[in-house]
Amino acid sequence: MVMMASSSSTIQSVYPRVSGANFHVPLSPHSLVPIYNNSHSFSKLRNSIHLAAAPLPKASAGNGGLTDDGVSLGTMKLPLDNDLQRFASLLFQEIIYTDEPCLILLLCQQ
Amino acid sequence: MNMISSDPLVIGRVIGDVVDHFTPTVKITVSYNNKQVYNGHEFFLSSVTTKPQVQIHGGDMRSFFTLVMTDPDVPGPSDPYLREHLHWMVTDIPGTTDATFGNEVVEYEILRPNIGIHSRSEGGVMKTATTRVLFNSRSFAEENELGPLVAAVFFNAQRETAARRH
Repeated sequence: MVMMASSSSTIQSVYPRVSGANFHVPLSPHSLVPIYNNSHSFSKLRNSIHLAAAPLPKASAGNGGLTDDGVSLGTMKLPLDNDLQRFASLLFQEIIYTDEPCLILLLCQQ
Repeated sequence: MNMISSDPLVIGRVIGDVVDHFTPTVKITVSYNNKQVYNGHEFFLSSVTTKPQVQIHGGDMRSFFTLVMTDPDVPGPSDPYLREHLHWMVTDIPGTTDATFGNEVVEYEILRPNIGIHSRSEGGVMKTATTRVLFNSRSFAEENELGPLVAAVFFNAQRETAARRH
């Protein structure tokens, strides 16, 4: 009994800020290890946050893929802001330019 | 012995693509604004907008001729899938006169080719209607029982600003 009381008194004198709730749990120098474990847990949490952030660039790349910078016209790709009417006009003009008549006059006896 | 023809009508593929080989027997002179047309020469389109003067020097007043102007290179020489295009036709031209004495059955039209039937078939030499597009000189002469081809002249008409855009 006296020994029990002496042990309790010793603990209190060594860790004076320990509350009475922890009376039944004998604290030892090894109790520092859980603190290290807690730090490790925080590290894991940060890693998790980092991993969570990793998809963001990927998602951004995905969005970049969706944003097409032109309209496919066969083998030619034009920007969206292209003046298609003028483009068609140029094509038409090109056709006109090739239409240079070679005129032939033929005279037949009736 | 292979002979290379020096005939401009052969070199220009008029004989072959448009007509069969023939021997010219009548002399004609064609001119735009007093500028005579020679085989293979070039004119600006702006100078051929009005019909040319076509003088027939052969025959006599009792013989009659039909004049046809076509373009075999439509829409372009690399792929003339609309060959030929009929630009002008005058029938019943008396010999020793010019085209103004004949019957213009297809109006002269160079710059604004018009699609459709534009010929009159009543009277004169024409027996069948014809269109400007996909005209065929050989078939036309045969179907209308024309006589032999007696003269031909060809020239190119180009635009003043024909340079291609890049």
